[in-house]
Amino acid sequence: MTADAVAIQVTGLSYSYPDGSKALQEVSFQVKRGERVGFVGANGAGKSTLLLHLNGILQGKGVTIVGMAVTKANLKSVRQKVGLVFQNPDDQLFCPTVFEDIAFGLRNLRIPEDEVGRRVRESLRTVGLEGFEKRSAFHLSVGQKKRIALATVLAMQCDILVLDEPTSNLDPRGRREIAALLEQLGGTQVIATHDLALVRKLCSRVIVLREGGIVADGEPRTILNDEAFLRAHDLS
Amino acid sequence: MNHAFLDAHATLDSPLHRLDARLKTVFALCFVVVVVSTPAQAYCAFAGYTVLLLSALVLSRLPVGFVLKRLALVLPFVGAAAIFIPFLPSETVGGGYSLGWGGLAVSRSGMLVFWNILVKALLGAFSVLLLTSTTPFPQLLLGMARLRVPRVLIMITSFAYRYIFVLVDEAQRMARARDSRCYSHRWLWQAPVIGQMIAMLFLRSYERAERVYLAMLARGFDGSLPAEKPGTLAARDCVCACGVSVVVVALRLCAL
Repeated sequence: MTADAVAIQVTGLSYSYPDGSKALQEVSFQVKRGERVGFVGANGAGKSTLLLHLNGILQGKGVTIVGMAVTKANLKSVRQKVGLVFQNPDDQLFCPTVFEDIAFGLRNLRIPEDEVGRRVRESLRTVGLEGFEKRSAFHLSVGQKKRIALATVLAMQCDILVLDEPTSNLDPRGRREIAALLEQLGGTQVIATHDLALVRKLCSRVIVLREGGIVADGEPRTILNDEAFLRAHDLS
Repeated sequence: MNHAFLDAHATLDSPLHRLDARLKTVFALCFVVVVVSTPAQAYCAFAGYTVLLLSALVLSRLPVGFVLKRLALVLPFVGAAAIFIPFLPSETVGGGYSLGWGGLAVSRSGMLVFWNILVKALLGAFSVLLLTSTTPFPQLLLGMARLRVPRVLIMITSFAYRYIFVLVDEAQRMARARDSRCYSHRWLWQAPVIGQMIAMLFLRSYERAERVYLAMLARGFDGSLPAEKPGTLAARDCVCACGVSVVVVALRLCAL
């Protein structure tokens, strides 16, 4: 495989919390361009910690994004490539209006103001919430907030989407809408979730984490249908 | 629950709502300064200011009851500050009125000081109230940004506005969870729970602040913020502001 076809390369990544507890131990995997990979695992398995490394929020050794090592020097370019959507939209949407929230990342990239306006409208249209620019994020439903949170990184036109629990706290309809949206968006996607149905529907590959290490990596069809395996790793 | 308790009527439409946020902000601030600098005996000037604000209120189409209620919120603070003032010794100026019991006497100079505090607090609050209830909060922030208020201050204000709702919600959820387990507000031994809740709320806010910051970093935040472009003022707004300013200055000058 040529280096160009690799979106994310993680080699021997370990991470310990300041209190010494190990969150990730020698994690290695590769995500190809255009691939949609699901990360599943029980609570505390290290999913969120792993995602924070992909965007350079946490900087460990051995993470490469489209051929760029994630280091302090190229943080800006890494964050331009990788859009990270947090689990709780109230953490991600912190501006008085939806417009400001979506514009935030664009303004950090010093994009001219008329282009900002255009991209905000475009990303709102993509997530099906046209005309929400002036609304205050707090007054929206959870499903709408989740979609706005997604729009904030879509506007940045990242190559790689990294999503932490995109369907948590959503009703069935909300889950269906997010799934449809992610399917339609395409591109390279990394999805950490407890929602096995979502992984079955969307992902061509699933990686199972347990206590900071990878215990399985393969097709959802085989892995997620192995009831004994799921139970052994607290997934069922 | 109605979360829009800060700027509940800011989305109405009226001439006052349509005025440029910058003008309104600057005007409200200057107005407060002028009012505070007016001598207490200049009753005509205060009457003039009041008429001015009342006509603005009529123009703004804000519900009068709402405005009165908000204004009443100022009274306890003024009261706490000013309640003893009328009873200050009367020898200094003017003489006093004896109330006849316990040697308590109201002094004229004390009354004047009390009036001074009361009227200025009310007029100041009234003008700021008109500003905040006719300007949606984001507009107010934008106005401040265009007035070159440091971006950091604006961000802090905007965070406060954004998260006060989340905080209120969280506090309500905690209170509900507490009450559902048979908490009554009656016994002193239950009081520590309130302290624990406040500590918990603080911790949760602190952790949330950290997560929000991470989310900002994830979108390329590097600590600096692009400055807001100034934008032009409409001629109509300027004329209007100039006109009202002339009236205010005239009122202030005739009080000299």
